[in-house]
Amino acid sequence: MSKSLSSAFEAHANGVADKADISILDIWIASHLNCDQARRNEIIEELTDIVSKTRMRKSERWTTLTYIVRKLDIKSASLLSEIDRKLSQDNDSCDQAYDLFSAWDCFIKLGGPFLPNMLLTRTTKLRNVASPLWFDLAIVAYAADHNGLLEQTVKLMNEGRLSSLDFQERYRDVAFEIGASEIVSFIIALIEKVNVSAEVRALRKWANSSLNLNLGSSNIEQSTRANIRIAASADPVLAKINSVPFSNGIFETTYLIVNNQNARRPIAARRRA
Amino acid sequence: MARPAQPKFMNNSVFRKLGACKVGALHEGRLLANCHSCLREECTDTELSERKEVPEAVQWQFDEFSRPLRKQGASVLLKANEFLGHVKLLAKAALYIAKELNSRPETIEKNFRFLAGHGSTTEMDFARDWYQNRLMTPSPTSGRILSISGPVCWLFRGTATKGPDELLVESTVDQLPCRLGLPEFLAHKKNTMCPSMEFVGYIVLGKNVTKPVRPSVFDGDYVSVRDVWSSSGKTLPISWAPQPMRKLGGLREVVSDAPKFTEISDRFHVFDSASFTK
Repeated sequence: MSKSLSSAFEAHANGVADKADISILDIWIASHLNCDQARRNEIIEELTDIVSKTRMRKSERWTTLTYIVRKLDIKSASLLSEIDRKLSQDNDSCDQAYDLFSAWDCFIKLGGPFLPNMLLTRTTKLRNVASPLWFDLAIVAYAADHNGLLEQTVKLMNEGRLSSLDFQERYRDVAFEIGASEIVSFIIALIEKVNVSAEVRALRKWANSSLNLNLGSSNIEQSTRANIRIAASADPVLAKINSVPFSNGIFETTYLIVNNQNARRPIAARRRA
Repeated sequence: MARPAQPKFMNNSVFRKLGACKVGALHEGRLLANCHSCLREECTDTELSERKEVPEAVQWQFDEFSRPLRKQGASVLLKANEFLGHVKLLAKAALYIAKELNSRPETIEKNFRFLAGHGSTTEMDFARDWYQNRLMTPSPTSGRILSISGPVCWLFRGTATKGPDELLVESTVDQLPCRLGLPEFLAHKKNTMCPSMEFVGYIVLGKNVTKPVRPSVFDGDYVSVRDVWSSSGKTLPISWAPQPMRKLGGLREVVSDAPKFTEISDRFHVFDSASFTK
């Protein structure tokens, strides 16, 4: 194991940093952002070794590992397998909720298949203690099951575990996973199904102001069609709802087609930034 | 009265700076006595990373001694409308906020880039909403408004002609961390390569800075005092950086209580530092 990486890892996890909060590991990561594949393979080996030998449930260990994996964009089956083994041993037993989230987040970032049954059976503690973070995992787990994600979102909001603000903060992630063509109908369905009136009001207010929708207080579908704030014209017009940036430089943009009957049909368009 | 002798393993630079600093001179007797029995200067990487107690190392003695003596320097009078700057590694600022807000650090990083103007209008609008809703209100985790730094905040002041708000937007902003002696871990002359890193810069108005004092020898840790701190009240640029970078010179700085996000300007700056080699 490389002494420099393992000691930098441990120092970072223990909060050893300078006055601008820069640790040795931060410098190490910045120095390895563009390293070649051979060096990356060595790093993966070193990280696998660190995970196997470290008491990962200790505070900040998983968060530190995820930080490295995210910054260096590491994908690795061997590291993934070691993490899975560790998580099976230490299931739901991290000292801190954020570390527990980081562990699963790391699993996903490494390329691990993360499906609803995994979410529902192995992350119960996180759902109870840090629900917004659990929702972050749910967004990924239910990427191919939009109704399932809607159901989980509604449950969390109705249980008071996810606020409108929590959802707004994750809007881009939800839009990324379920696609631009689905996001507006997802939000409308969410507003219809949530039964906490304060959250419904907050969601509607946000959707109206930030997404340029104009949702009324009853019968959302009808209100949506009737109140879109686009001047009616003889020809259909495109109203941009939102642009969602992706990490690969592509923007996914949601449009509504609005004509003089106020018909609504969301379409998706992609363009390079 | 004669000054106590320099402990065998204490670096000359640290000993000299202790004597040159008023707060240092006031307390150095006890510290030097603690250090006389030391058997080496520095802690090992392992000792540091595991935060072990190492009484035989001068570094450990100094850091332990100085911890309760933070923010004891002479008061500094700031003009109410004076701007002060603070820079931080973006990834770390984001991680700290992410933990408080139960959020992903990458989301916070993106929001800061958008707030700094690196994004479309829609993205910037989203980020401004996030800032208002999340950073200007109490954290759902701790119930308090978040601060921009730990308990001791290092703030830099402007030059005779430029305020920190200007220094953070000018073309040489990539050299600002070097001027501030950052990263401190690279300040030692044995290092040869400084990679580019992404920083976030905050601006605070003088009237919102609580208890600003001149930094003393006890506000930093042993290694930073040895390699990068100056008793002049100005930062020391990294000594082995290229000449044009060093030529820009250090900046005056103060330490204070950490300003909260409600107390800083909503003008954020995100920039990459320059990379350089010896």
